[in-house]
Amino acid sequence: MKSRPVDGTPGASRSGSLPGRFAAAAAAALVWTAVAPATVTACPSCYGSASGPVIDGMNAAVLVMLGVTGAVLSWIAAFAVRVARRERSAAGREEQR
Amino acid sequence: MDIPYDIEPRPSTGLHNARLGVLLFIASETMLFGALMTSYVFLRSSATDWTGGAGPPGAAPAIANTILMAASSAALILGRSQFRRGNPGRCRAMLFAAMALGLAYIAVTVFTLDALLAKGIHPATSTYAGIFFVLTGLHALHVAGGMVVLGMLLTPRADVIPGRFRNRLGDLAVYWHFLTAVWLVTFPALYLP
Repeated sequence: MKSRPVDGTPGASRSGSLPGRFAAAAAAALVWTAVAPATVTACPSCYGSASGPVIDGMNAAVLVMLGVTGAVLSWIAAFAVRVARRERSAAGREEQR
Repeated sequence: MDIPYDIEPRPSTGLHNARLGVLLFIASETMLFGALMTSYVFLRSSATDWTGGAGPPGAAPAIANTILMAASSAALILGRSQFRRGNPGRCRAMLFAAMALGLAYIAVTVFTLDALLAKGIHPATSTYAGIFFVLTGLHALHVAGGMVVLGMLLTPRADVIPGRFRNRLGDLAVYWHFLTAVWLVTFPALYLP
């Protein structure tokens, strides 16, 4: 399968240029908003509605998700550092020989 | 074709390939269970009626499950230790014990969920029931997956290449300890008021 260029080169003519596609997407979004405005209305939580149990729950959940993601990413970063150190020490041993 | 570092650790990582794969798998599993625990925190913190009349089932099955998971982890540790000491027979006995304990864990979980269904409590009853069924069910499925690997390690010719068997046993043990840790987080979240 041929790869398709995503920029405005002549090869991309089959699906139009990037600005053209962006304009089409924007037009589609506008039509969608006009036809079904309720579906694009922000929920009270996203809109920043004062407070309440839902907001409290969402705040707590965000903290938990940040904690889990942070822990996993920290492990991956620590592992990358470990690999780099081992590579460096192995290269040092090679030089000494 | 020989796969490099299949048995010996790769110099740059200090791990054999399969262990690295298992650790990455566990990282993704951490995200999966982490996402579910996030849902739990959100649902519980925001609920005006958390259990909806469908309170936690009795603590006895949960305590039994905790003991079973901890004991099966211990059996795997002992099995690895016996294999390192050159006692494959005792190692197999420990693996059989871990298998039996895992089976008992799944049986207790199925019994618990079945008892809830018999009472008319199903995932749609309340947010508590929903997250309870998902978390306990998913955890039991993971234990079942681990038991498939455990069963493969118990086949007669599994330890023909001792180094590879040792690594595979270690990889399974790492996964199993992870499941035990997940249960130790799940248990108080779901069963304590």
